[in-house]
Amino acid sequence: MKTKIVVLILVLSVLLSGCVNSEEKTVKIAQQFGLAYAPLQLAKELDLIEKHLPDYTVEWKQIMNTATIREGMLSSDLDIGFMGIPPFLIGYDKGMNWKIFRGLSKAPLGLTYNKDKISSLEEIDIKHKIALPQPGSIQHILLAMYLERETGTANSLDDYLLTISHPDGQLALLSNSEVAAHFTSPPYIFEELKEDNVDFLVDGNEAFGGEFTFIVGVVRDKFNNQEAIDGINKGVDEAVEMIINDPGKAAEILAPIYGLDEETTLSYLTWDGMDFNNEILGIEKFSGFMLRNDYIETEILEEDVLNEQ
Amino acid sequence: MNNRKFIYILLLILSWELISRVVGNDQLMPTSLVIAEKLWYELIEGKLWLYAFYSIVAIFIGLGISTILALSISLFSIKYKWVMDFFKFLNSILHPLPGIAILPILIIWFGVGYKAIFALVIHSVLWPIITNLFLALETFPKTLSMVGDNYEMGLLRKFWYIYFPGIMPSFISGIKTGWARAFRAVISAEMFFGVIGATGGLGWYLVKKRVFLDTTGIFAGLVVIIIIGIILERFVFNKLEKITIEKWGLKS
Repeated sequence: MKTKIVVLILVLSVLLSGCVNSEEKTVKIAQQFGLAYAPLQLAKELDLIEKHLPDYTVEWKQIMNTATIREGMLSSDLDIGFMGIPPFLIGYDKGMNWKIFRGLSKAPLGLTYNKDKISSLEEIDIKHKIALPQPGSIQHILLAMYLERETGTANSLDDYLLTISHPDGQLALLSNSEVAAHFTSPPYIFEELKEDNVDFLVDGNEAFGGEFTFIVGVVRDKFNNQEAIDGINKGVDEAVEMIINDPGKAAEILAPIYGLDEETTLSYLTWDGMDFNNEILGIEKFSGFMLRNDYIETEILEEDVLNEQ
Repeated sequence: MNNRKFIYILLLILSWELISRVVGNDQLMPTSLVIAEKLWYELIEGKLWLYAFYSIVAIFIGLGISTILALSISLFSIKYKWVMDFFKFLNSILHPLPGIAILPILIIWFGVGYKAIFALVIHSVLWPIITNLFLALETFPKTLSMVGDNYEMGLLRKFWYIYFPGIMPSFISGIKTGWARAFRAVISAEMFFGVIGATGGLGWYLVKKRVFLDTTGIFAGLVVIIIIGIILERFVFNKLEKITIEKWGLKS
């Protein structure tokens, strides 16, 4: 009996130790896989953020999709996340306390199609699918924005959507499957466009009706640590500068991580439309569209969601 | 349902209510009342039952195909020893493979529609049923099969009148395991590649709720999944046992 109590106390103490806030300063950053996150990957490889935050432990977490990052930030397991603007707005609308603290990249997103399967969007019918990462993702919202402008109804093709990860979507588009079009982002879109029978149906800017930031940096309100945010910004800015001024070296570091050769990595990093900077463009246009089409319920203004410095 | 189970359910709901009120965040842990309200709304307005229907249809078609496959394999195993040996070997290789692990391959082979789902369900269901059937066949009393020989029955008649009732208990327990695995497989597959047809199944419903950060909606989906499990266990499989093995006096 005594040993049982001792064991129980030990188990409980181990379980509860996780709840006690340690004094050590840590910052937990989530990133996803993709070319648009290149500055983060670079900052991670070269310890650029650690350099500007010597007193901090920086924990990097590579996460598969935005929903997981959002859940991690909701459970306080993550402090900083990087994602598209629409998923951020959905979380904000649902009551998540978080703010955008920087932009990271613009990228040539777009809807590609397999010419052997269809020749225009009108030909999409019950036999076909449009693949994209998930409902509410920037790819889905961009497609809906395009459809709203072209057909008057944002969700006119919702019945034909198929959610699937970028690499599986690429596979499905090129193979003999029902996926006839794919709304995706670099590097997958670059690889698809290399094929003879694949072309752009709509590119991201055309769908949006202007320029927009693809990936933004988001911080949980409770994290509330300007010192750490400044450090992260400096580290990421340094990585951005490196990609702009010395893309060859950046490609050399990133190539093995992306599983590509250096030459390809360099061409992808410098691809027309790949633009790394801290601008934040398009918040209110996204939020206006999403409100109008019931993806969110409240009006969200830029000043509500920007983390004031 | 006996009274004790009602008390357990009540206790469960009560403690959930208590903890969720302490947590006080609907995005993390909605209260039971909020979930109940959402469930009602989703069933009436959100067509949650239609999602459930899609999943169940997919499972039952897959389950049906696997059952026929497993029974035919067993039939041939009685006649030819090597058939059983061969499928035992296949079983030992393929049974440990989780459905979700072979999903990427299934997508390449069968695309992202119903075909891939059926292939996945068949993979999840076939091996547990075969394992159970083989076990029953191997321990099948030789004297009984000799009775069939005495009557000069053909293979099919022998299978139907002698083997089939004898292996029924194992067959039903195989289907039960298979059903549970198929349910999991279908929901994971739907979560993996989203919508199939104009409306998706329960997995797709969960994904939709998840990407729009609708935690209460996720719980509503989970409640439906639990209820379907209970209904099938209590009313379908128990009924099946009653009209077969219990009636035949095979259940101890």
